[in-house]
Amino acid sequence: MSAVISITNLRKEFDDLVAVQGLDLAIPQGEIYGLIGPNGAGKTTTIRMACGLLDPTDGHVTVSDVDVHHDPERAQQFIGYLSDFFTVYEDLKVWEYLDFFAHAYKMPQAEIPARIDEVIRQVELEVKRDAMIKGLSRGMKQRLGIARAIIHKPRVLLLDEPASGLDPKARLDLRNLLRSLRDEGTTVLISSHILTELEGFCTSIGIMEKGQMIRSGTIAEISAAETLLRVVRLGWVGQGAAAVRSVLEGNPHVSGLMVQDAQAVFKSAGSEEELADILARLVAAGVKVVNFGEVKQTVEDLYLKLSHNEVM
Amino acid sequence: MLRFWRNPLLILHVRSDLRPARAVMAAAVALIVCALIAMGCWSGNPGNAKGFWADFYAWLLGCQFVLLSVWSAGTCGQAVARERELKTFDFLKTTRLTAAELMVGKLLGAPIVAYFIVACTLPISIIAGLIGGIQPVAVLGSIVLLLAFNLFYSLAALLASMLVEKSSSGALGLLGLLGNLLFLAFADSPFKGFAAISVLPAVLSLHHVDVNMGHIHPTVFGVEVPCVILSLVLYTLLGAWLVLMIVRNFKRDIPQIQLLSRWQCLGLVAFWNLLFYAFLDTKMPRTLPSLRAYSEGYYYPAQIALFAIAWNAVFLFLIGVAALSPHEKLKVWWRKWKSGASSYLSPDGLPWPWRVPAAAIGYGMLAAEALGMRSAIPLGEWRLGFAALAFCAFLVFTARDILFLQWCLLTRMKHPLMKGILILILYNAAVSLVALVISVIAAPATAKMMRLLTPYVLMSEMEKPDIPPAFILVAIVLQVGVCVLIHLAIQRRLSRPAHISVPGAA
Repeated sequence: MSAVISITNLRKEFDDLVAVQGLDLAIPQGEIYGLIGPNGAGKTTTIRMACGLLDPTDGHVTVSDVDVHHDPERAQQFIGYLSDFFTVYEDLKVWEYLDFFAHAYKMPQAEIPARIDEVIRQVELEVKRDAMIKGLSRGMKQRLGIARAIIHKPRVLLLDEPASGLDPKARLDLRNLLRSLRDEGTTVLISSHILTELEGFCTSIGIMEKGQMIRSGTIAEISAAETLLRVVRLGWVGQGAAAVRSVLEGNPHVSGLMVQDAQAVFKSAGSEEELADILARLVAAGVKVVNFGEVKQTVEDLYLKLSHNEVM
Repeated sequence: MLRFWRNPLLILHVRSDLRPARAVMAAAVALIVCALIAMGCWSGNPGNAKGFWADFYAWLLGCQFVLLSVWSAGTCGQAVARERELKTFDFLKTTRLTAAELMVGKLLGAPIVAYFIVACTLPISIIAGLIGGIQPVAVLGSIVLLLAFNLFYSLAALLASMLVEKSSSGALGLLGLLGNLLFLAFADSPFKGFAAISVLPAVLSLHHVDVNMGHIHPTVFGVEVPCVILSLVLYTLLGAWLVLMIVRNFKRDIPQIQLLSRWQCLGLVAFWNLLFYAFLDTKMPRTLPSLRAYSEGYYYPAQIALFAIAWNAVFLFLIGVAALSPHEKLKVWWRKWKSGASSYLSPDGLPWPWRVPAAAIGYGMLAAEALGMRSAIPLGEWRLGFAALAFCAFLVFTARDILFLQWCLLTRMKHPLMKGILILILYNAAVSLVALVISVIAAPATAKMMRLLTPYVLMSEMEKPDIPPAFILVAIVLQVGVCVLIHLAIQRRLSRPAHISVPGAA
């Protein structure tokens, strides 16, 4: 599948500081790509370059095969952008605000009224359509910001920490909205340093640190690459600690064994068959096993592992 | 862009600033003020209906000029900075509106309330003027002047707003408005045309007001041109340069702004020199012997050459500032230049080499003017040899200052340009003060030597030679040495490797 967002050898310097260096990224259509990294990793700079707000020192960004920096006005028709903290024009009504941006994105005049209604419905602001923006709550303004970003039906949505300051309900609504946009074919590039925000929601992630992409791919791909050692949790009832130690410490594929009370955690470099073999030996050694299974890695686990714990 | 009334940004301002209740209130206040002015004029002209209407028209016109220009300068002077403060500017920049469309939207939209108030009072002033015996051409001309003057200063204020971080700096726009009055000083010079940049002479001459300002009679290449026409042409031409600077930089962040490209800077120098010689009243320069026979108000050619040098010195500095390279661009150029991939004269490189052709244009046009007038004034009276030396000296001195400002931009200081300019002002003031003190306690020659640390002594030398040219050459060599030192400091800054950002530092 061809990439909707293509970033090639991107570099950005601010005075004597390299904010982003040698960044290559290709995001296919329909992906929700999460950009993870601590503050100062270069996420915001990358997104600002991707939407044409910053000129790169080197390299280039194309969106739908249009170079963002050589043909910015044409590229903008494909891009919707939302930053973390923003304000809206308080002296306008909700529909007027969206109408302004629809015209600013040069949408066909005839399509604008229907599109405004559609977007207002999508962000659930129907009852506030004719309300003044200054009377909206923070969450409503955030939703209005999203409505602004999608008013022109962009192929690509660039969101820089969009959930900052939102309550849990609003975050959930944002996720649902982004999922529905993805289902419609929109590609989303979203940055966050709050890892749980992206959990179970992004189709791919990229981990940035010190201006560089240290890993990029689907969560499963990154997990597979990084988890040659599976983390296995084991629980039992009764006296079994000695038997567990005896079985596991003697196994060449097992490392990092930790036993506490009636539980143990260890790392296994073996295959699933070998794990089954370990379980059989434990049972044969008289350990009354009540649970035995691989611990699934979260985005946070992966990030902590890959970023050498230089985090948050 | 031509159908400006459909500009989304203008419509946005109309919607937010001119809601029906606010519009009705503004119109009501405007009409009440008109009524108060009318009452005042009536009390000053009891029983004289024509005088009343003429006075009423004059007051209304004055109020419209003041209201529209002050309001526009204030709001346009805040327009971009305020969007930046509110963090809404990024969203404007990521729309499909071009820089020119954004400029038009802000230019007409930001002061929309003032335009509305003027539109409400305009029919009253037109009627008052016509009943008061003012010629329709004058009434119409005033309206055109009002709009042209206001658009020109709104452009200047908008440009100022792009260059500042805080909207409170919108006062800069108002300062520009006051600066407009400075051009009135040209009314008594051989370059009367520049006085037309101020709107006052045009308005006064249009209404045949019998005051000095109403009788300026500017010339263009020796042909007398009405002040109104000249003002309109100047607002158009100068406005075009402002538009060029705004459109080129509207979507850039402040550190990335470079007002003009190097080629455009050369064009601007040629343009200003062309205006200088176009406005030169050719009846004014006189040869020295004939001058002694005339009354005051004439100039001898060396004085004109002196004005040309001063004029070019100011522009050498200003275009140097306008063409300073942003830090990032300069660093990229430096790397390319070191690897042989870019020329030293690249438009992204150091600004100083481009000043040489700028000075050459200035000197070349002075020489052309002298040649053109050789039938009336002998070439020798222009002191072209010394003028060449003075041009060289100003070139080196301003190159030093521009290199210093470029170095400031490469440091981590806050507001580097403003601080750099303040340091330069301080340096010049300090040298002048020390020279003044030395002239009291030591020989005048020592003081003159001291003054060679700044270029201003060349001005007095042009009219009254006192220092041997060799000393001026020494001063030039000294300043070239300083330029080399600053160049080395810039090289050192550019050679420093960039370091990688540290997580959590943002």
